[in-house]
Amino acid sequence: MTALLDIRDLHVEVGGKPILKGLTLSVPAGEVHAIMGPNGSGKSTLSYALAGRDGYEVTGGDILYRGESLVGLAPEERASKGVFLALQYPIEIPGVTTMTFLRTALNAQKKARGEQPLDAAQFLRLVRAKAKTLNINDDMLKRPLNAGFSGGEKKRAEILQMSLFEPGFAVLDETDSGLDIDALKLVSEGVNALRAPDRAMLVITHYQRLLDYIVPDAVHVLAGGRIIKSGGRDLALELEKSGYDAVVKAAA
Amino acid sequence: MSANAAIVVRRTEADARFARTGVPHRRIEAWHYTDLKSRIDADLPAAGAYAGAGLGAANPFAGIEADTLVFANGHYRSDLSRVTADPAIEIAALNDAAPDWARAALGAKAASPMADLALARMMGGVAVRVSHNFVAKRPIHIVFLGKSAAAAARHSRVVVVLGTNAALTLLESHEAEGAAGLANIGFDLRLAANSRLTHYKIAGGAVGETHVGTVMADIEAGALYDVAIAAGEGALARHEIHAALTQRMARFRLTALSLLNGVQHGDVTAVVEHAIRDGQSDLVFKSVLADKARSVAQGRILVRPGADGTDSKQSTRALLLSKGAEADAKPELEIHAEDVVCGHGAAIGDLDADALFYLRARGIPEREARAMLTEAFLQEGLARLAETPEADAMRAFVLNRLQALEAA
Repeated sequence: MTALLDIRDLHVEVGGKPILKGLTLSVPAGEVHAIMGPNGSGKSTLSYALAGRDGYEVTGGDILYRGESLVGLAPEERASKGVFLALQYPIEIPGVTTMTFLRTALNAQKKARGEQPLDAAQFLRLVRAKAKTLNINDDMLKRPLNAGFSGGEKKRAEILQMSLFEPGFAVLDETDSGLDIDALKLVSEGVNALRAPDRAMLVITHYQRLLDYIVPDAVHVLAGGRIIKSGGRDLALELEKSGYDAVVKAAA
Repeated sequence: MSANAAIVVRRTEADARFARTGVPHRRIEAWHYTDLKSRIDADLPAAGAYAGAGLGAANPFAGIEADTLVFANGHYRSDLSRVTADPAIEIAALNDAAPDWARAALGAKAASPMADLALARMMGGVAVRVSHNFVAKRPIHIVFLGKSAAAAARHSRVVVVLGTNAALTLLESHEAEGAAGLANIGFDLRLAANSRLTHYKIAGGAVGETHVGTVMADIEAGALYDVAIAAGEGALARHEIHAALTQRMARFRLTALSLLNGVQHGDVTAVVEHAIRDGQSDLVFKSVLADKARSVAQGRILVRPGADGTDSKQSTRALLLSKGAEADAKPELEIHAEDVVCGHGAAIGDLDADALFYLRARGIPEREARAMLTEAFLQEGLARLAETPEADAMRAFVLNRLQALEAA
């Protein structure tokens, strides 16, 4: 059986410059994998390439999700198939309330999948129940999306979206950045609650700290646009201890 | 000199001033981005008798309970107007029988060639005065109707005088059909101490029509002139406001929302004079431009010597939905006082790429995501309007226009 997400020899260019140079990675259903790497190794490029952002051009290889290629699909098509990217810096959109955004997005995904959209009352019940576990109150839902939210509130709002959209595959891009330890715990609990046998996650991080809270099934080291080493939980601790340089050199 | 003679003198003077300048063109600095001369002829004949259908149900303010003053083809028509008698509100035609207060206010300040032209060739006018301490319960809605078989001009003047502590909401709308012509209207506003005038203007007109509206506002101590303008149909519009903050703590607030498409040209120009200390001005220009539309936003702030404590800000934002669209922003600060805060900012461009990606990555199709962001852009301006039925009508007009722009 193929993995839920299968990245094969992926080459991606940004503005004509090659960033990912033959990245191969498999994440089976039910597992959480971590990608660690030094700055400039291509971590963010990988997350944008998975989500289908314009300007991240796949020049070789393939991204298979449940056996189907995502390459060439628009971001919204990937989202409705079940791909979710939690951003390192969630975007502030003054003028659109969080509630309106959530409902529009959820119903757009449902519509694309040929499912029945939720009416206002159904949606409100659903979102309130999900928000409660993340300590997100009604006031925050009524505010403009991410506008004036603290770093922790923005990340919690991202996790709320993830729990609402129930994606099959989620990428968490540097979710730990800008979080204090309490916020980190709360966000990690939210992520852990979403672990499921039919769902896979890819956690991208620079620091191993996050992996104390979201314990991965496998750890991969990304450097120079390729996975240079894979291992278990211990690899993250090794990186923390001896630094990226040692691992990169050893793999070279 | 009698008051009546004073009007004749002012009209004669206005005529002489206009004769020297003629129709403004781009070599006049204040008209650099709007070359009116290439669009209209000063000798356009005056519009004839009005034979249109009157105020329509499609008027954006039709659902608002208001006293209605109607102009038809430039003439003030008391017979078409509907006013509930109220001793605290005086309404008078600007003719030989006009009361002294109306005559004194009419054309008291010379501001621009087009306002001069409207006074010199005035076909009709109306004056409104609200008594001291009176807060008008209903808005006054001034409707300008136009219908001509051939291109014609409609020159009108309006006077609004608010007594001390008085408050009024003024609605202004325009409906024109038939041949494209010129609607040229001058407003003299006098706001006595602590009065408040809220002015919602929805511009409009026949396709191809030229609209020039010039407001000369005199704002006294603690008074507020709060004006919002939404662009409608019509080929070219110039909304020009001269706000003189003549006494302490006077305030001026402008919200301009220009949604333009085709080859429409929309110009909002504000000239704010902080004549004395502690005045406040707050100008927001927002445009959404499709096709080959063009918006012009000019905010000239003049802070006179001694006008310390002046607080002035302006922001210009334009969203270009197509490559052929153009936005011109010209903030201009002339400061002759020491202790002042004057800020301005401008941003012109496409929708934010990060925001667009974010919405799409959450499953919202591109077209819908663009519409959401465009509406969000406007909501920031619409949020400045009050929570009243008439403000809601203005919001509805703007959002309907956005839908029409996007559907096209």
